[in-house]
Amino acid sequence: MNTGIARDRKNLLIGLVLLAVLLVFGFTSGDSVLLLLGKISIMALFAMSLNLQVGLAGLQPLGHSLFFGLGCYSYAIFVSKLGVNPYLAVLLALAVTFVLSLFVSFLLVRRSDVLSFTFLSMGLCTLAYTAVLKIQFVGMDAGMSNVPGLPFAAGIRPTYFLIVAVVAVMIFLIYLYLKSPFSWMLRACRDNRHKSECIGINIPHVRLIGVTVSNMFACVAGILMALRNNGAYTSSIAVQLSFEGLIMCLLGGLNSFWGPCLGAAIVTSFNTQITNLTLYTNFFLGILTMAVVFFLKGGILDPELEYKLRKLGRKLRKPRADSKGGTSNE
Amino acid sequence: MSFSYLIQVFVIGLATGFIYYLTACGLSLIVSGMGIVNVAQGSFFILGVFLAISSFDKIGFLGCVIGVPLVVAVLAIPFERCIRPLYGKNVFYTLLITFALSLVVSDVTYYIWGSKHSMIPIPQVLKGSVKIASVTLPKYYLFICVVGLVIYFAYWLMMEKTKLGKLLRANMYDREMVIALGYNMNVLFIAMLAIAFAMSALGGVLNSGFASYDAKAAVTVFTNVMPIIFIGGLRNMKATLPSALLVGELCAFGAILTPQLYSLLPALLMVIVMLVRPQGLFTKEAK
Repeated sequence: MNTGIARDRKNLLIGLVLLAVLLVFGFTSGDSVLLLLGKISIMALFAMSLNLQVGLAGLQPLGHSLFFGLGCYSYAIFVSKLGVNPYLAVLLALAVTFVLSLFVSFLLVRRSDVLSFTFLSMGLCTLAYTAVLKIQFVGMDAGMSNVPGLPFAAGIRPTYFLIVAVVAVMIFLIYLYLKSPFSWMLRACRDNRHKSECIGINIPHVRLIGVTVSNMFACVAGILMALRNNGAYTSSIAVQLSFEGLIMCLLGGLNSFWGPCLGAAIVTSFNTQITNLTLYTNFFLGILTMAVVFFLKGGILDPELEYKLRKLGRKLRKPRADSKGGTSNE
Repeated sequence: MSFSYLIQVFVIGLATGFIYYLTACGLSLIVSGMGIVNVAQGSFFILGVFLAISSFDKIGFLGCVIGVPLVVAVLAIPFERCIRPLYGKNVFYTLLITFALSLVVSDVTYYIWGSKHSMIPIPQVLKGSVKIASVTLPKYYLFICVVGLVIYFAYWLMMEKTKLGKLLRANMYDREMVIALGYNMNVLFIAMLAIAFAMSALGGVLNSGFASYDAKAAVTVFTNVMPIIFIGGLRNMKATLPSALLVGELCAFGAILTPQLYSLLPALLMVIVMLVRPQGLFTKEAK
C-alpha cells in the first residue's frame, strides 16, 4: 500500500494536473463550458469543506449550506444594498460568517449527541432559508440579482480564472490543514472519544474550531458563487444543497483527499445535464445515492476499494499473463 | 381583538399542533426506537395528502381517514427492507438513504399527481361552526383536535398496556436483550415504522381538508416538524405532544402578530431552547 508521503505526493500531483486542465479549458472553451466548470470548482470546494466535518471529524451536519448561503448573501447584501466596496465586502462577508459560525458551532457542539448535531444544524439552516424566503430586503424567493463582482474580474472568463485560482489556493490550504497536528486531534475525537478525553483533548473545544474552519471554507465557496452568478439565490442556502454536499462526499469517498471533488463533479454535472433530459432530476439523484450507499459504502476513491481492485487485478493477471489488469479506478 | 377571537385562534393553533403532533410523534418514535433519522417522514405526509385527494370520490371522507393511513403503513415493509443492511452502521448512511427515498417518493408523487394543488372537500357534518358559550368555533378544527386526542390516547394505551408497546419500550432501553429473548427485531421495526407512517399519513389526510401541499414539499414538511422534536427534547417521546401544541399555538398567534414571518417562529424557538435548555424544554434530567 501507499505510504503517507507517496500518497501526499500523488494528491499534490493530481491537484497540479487538475489545475492545468482547468486553466487549459479556461483559455480554449466557450462561455457555457466555463460556467459549468466554474460551478463544479465551487462545488468541489464546498464538498471538500464539508468533508472536513464528515470525513475528518465524523460529524454529519445537514445544514452546511447555511454558511455557503451566508457567504453568498452577505456579499450580495454588502455590495448591492449597502454600497460597500466589493473588496471590503468580501472581507466583511468573511467576518460576518466567522462570528455567526462561532455562535452556531457553539450551539452545535455543546451536546455530544451525533443526532442532535445533525438535526440542529439542519434546523438552523431551515431557519435561515425560511428567513431568506420571507424577508423583502434580500429579495424573497427571487433572490438578489445584478450584484457587481470584483472590478478586476468582470465578465465570465476573468471570473472563471478568479474562481479557479481561489479554489486552488483554498484546496491547498485544506491540504495543509489535513496535515496539521490539529487535524489529528479531530481524527482522535472521531475514532475514540474516551481515549481522546483521557489524553486531555477538550472535545467540544476542538470540534468548535474544526467546524468553524470548515464553515469558513464553505463561506469562501459561497462568495465565489455570488461572483459567478452575479447574485445570490435561495438555492444556495437550501437544505437540499447540504444533502447534495453529503452525497458528493459519499460518492467520491470520505476517506480520500480528492474524493469530494470527484463527487462534486459528478453530482453537479448530473444536476445540470439531467435537467435537460427530464423533469425528474431528483428521482435519478435518489436512485444514484441509494446505489452508492448500498454497493459502494466508501465511495469511488476509497482506499479499501482500490486495494480490493488491485487484489482482483492480480488474481486475474495470474492465470493469463498477457491480460492487462484494469485496476485503475480514477 | 375580542376574547372570542382569541379563543378561535387558540383552537386553530391547537388543531395545527395536533397535526404537527401526528407527524412528529412518528418521527420521535423512530428516533428513539431505532436511533436513526427518518428524513423521508415528510413524504408519507404528502402521500397521505395526495392519496386522500384521489381516493376521496370513491371511499368518502371517513374512508380516507381510516383507509389511507393503512395503505401508507404497508410501505413500512419495503422501507424497512431498504434500511435493514444499514443498522448499526454510521448514522450517515441511513440519513442519506432516507433522504434519497424521500427524493424518489417525491418525484413519483409529482409524476403521478403533477403540480396541481387541491384539497379534499369537508363532509357536510363538519362544515360550518358551532357556538359554545357565545364563542363560534369552526367544526373542522374541533374535529381535528378530537381525532388528535383520540390518537394520542390510543397511542398511549398501546405503548403502556399492550405487549407490542412493552416490546417497543424495551427495545429503546436494551435492544440486544430483546433479541436475546427471541423476538424478531425486523418485525418489530416494521411495526414501529408502520405506526409512524400511518400517523404521518393521517396528519396529511386531516390537513388536506384546509390546506394544499406541493407534491415536492416532503423535505419542507420534515423541516417544519423537526423543531418540535428539539423543543420537546430529542429521544423523549412523551415531550412530543406538549411541544407540538406549543408550536401550533406559536404559529397561530404568530400569524396574527407577524403575518410575514410567523413560519420562522418554530425554528427560532428551537434555537432559543437550545441556548437555554439544551436537553429540551419538557425533558427533566440532563444525560
